[in-house]
Amino acid sequence: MLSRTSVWRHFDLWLTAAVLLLTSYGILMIRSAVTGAPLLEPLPGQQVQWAILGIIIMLAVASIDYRVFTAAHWYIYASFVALLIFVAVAGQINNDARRWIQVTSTIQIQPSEFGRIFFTLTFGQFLAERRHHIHRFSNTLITLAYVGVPIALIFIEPDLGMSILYIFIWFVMIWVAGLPASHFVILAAIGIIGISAVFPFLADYQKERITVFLNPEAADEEDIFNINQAEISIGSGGLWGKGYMQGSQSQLGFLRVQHTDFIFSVITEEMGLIFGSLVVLGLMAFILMRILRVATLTPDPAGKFTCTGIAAVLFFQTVVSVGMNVRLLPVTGLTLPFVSYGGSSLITLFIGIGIVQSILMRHRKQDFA
Amino acid sequence: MNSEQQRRLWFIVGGIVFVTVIVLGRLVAFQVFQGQEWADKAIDEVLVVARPERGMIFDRNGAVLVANTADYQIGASPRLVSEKPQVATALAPILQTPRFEILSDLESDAPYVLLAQRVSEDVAEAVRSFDFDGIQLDPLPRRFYPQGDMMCHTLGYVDFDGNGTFGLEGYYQQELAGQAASATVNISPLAEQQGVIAREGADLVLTIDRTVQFTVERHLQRAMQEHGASGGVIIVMNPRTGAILAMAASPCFSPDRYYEVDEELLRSPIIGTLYEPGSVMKLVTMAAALDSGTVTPQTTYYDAGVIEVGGHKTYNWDRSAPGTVDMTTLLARSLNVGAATLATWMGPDTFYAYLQKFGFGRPTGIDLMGEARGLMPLPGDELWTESFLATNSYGQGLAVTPLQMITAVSALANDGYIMQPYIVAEIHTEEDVYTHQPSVISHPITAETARQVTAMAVTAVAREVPQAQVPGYTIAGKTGTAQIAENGIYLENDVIGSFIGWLPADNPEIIVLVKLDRPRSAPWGSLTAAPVFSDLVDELVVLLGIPPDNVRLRADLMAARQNGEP
Repeated sequence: MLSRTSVWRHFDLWLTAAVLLLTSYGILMIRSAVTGAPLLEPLPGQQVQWAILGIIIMLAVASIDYRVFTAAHWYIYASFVALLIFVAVAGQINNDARRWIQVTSTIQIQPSEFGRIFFTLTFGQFLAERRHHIHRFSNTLITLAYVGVPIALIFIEPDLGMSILYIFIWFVMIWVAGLPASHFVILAAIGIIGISAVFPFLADYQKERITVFLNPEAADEEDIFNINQAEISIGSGGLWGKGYMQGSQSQLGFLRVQHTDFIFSVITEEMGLIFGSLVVLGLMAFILMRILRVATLTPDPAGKFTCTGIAAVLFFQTVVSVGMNVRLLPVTGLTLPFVSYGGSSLITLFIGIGIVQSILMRHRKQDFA
Repeated sequence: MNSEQQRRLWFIVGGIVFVTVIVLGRLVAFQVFQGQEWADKAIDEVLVVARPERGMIFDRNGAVLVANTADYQIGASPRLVSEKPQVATALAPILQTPRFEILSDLESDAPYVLLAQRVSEDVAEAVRSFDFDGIQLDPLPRRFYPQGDMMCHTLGYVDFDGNGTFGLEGYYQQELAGQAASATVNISPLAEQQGVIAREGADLVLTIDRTVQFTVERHLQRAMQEHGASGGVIIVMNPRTGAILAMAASPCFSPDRYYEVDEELLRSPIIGTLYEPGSVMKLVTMAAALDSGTVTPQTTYYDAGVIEVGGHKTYNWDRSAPGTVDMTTLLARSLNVGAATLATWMGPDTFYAYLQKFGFGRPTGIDLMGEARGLMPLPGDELWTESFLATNSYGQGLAVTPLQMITAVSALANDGYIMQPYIVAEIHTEEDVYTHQPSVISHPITAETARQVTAMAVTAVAREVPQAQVPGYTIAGKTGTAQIAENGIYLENDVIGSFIGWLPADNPEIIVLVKLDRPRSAPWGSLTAAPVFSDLVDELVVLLGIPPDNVRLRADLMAARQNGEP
């Protein structure tokens, strides 16, 4: 009993506070983003409910020793792949993409969404078990196969952004695990060849998004419109913003999918550089640092890799989401972590934070490996 | 190993910082250095337009004649539509559009596709019941006519842009349409919101009684069938005020499907189509002759059966030569030679001065759009020759609208005064009610002349047109049988038969015009229009509460006695 309470002593309140601040900030901005669209009015309320559920799940996950999960990593990985196969075979199609499993008539889950966090766990353990073979190129190929199966299944859904996210997770985690630079160079070369080979087989909208990004003049009006409006929103926000609920671009509905993909534009337009961009990016940077701090603290390689992987997820999504808003990156549909509307995205992220907390809370008792 | 991993972790941190700096740099460039440029592109203000609802039209008792309803435009946002094949399958039979067309629309990249331009409420309801995502229904206002085709020409119609044309819809377009309000409004929620409030369309209350109108239209329909007429008009008017109690024209059309109708049919035969009135005009000629002092009721003339004026020979319709004839007989037997004689006695100056005072050659000014001014060449005009003096006197060689004719003759039923004909009794705006005040537009003859001509017209009906009689009432009236000119030549067999009558003759309450075009049963107005008049008036007196003469006169007598008069 005593030992259990002592575990919570290490619970990272700073990390929790930063996550809750960012989530609350997000809910306020979603409220602003959906104002004037009656169909979307219930969304902020729903997001509050998701956040509360997320906090409970985070505490529950934190209270479970993460090694329960890492010990069962093959089962988790197998279930994950099985779910992805199920999606590929009998998944629910929304907007031309087969990504969802219909659970009840109203609830759909997206395995790739929840999977990215569990994948960091299983892959962390997988890497930890093989860390002594890290210098072998065969080991690198085996990890590629390990990650390649889910990526292939996600890619055919199709979901380009998510596929790239998994590649990024793989890269960051194996890099921290000690991937030799020479392997990286070889793989990068293969990758460039591979991408140029794959490009013709991308779905039209995926190609379109990439070409729009590379060559805006050739894009179709709708995409150009979204990007231009996002730019106008961000640019016109200036240093101090136009004020909460006062962004003309967002309030007038010039921005599309503004409560998810383009929430960052709403934030910067209304709150400006100081209270918008810097607050969001600052909080996210703080969260990343707290997570990486856990990675440095824990002596368990599996925990270390997992934390790095979760940080990679948050970082990647943040950069991609912000990047597409400021035309640094193509439009992918990835959400801004903790800020964008979306129940499963939020729950997934809270699970991730819960795992990080679980690793942190048990880093001192690592004496039986 | 462990330290290597730590080193690599710091490498990751370094990567994060690097990328963050790039993103932040981009943001600073956007928001600070280019901020103003982008701010200029952003829109703070938006044009808000408030559209008013078009006013309704009621009969004098408040029955709805024209109301508003909505059609729907059905569109889709293809991105929001899931299960496109199912949606297409469901919508195809409802929208009566091939399924593949709907499906290809739904699969397009456009942000919005139009599936149906305009569908009825029923269809919209069927679409709505599916509750598909991404299908939009936008209401489009449209006029609704609960009485069907009734009063088609008088009501006019409203096109899909909300512009009224013809009839009341056209004349009162401004009042009915109201005033859309628009303003450039700052949309910032913190800015003070200014209201954009439209002026709602005004409602119209007509002088027309729906029941009377229905009765009139029913009689017109029956007359058209019985006499095989190609067209017809009936107008019922109160000569004391100028109020139109009913007016009908045939053939009619459905105002809500005006666009399917031949354009010719849209013009009102009551106010927009000209005809030569024929012998009905002799009432006016006689009134002018009496009022100018040219003749008295006792004056006689010698009718040799022909008179030549300006090289044109006028004969009586039956080619008779009745010899010495008094004024009452002239009117009763409708002698063309007699009318022409009166006109020559008056001379063109006097005759045309009177015709103008009676309102010929200019619109009556009724509050309906599409009124024609009529056609009456005057001495001095290029078209006029001396023979017109003769032909005009018996209603040929000039053209009038039915409303012009009845308005002119109404002077005889209203002590010599012509009242402004009108159809809208009240206009109800948001703030006020405007009530029409009856007004005199002309005073062509004295009350004495009006009484004299009415007396002659009573005798004329009694002697020559028993078909027009209504049991219990004294009718004053005159038939007309006019030839139809096409391209300047009078047609052999086609005529327009008409009858104008007013009653009770000693104190007229209504004046009625019946006009039948090209009747096949008989050429004469006395055999076509007159019996229609009789049948109709027989019902109208009940509907309008006009007591039979004996009842009324006895009541007057009783009232006079009670007031102590002899």
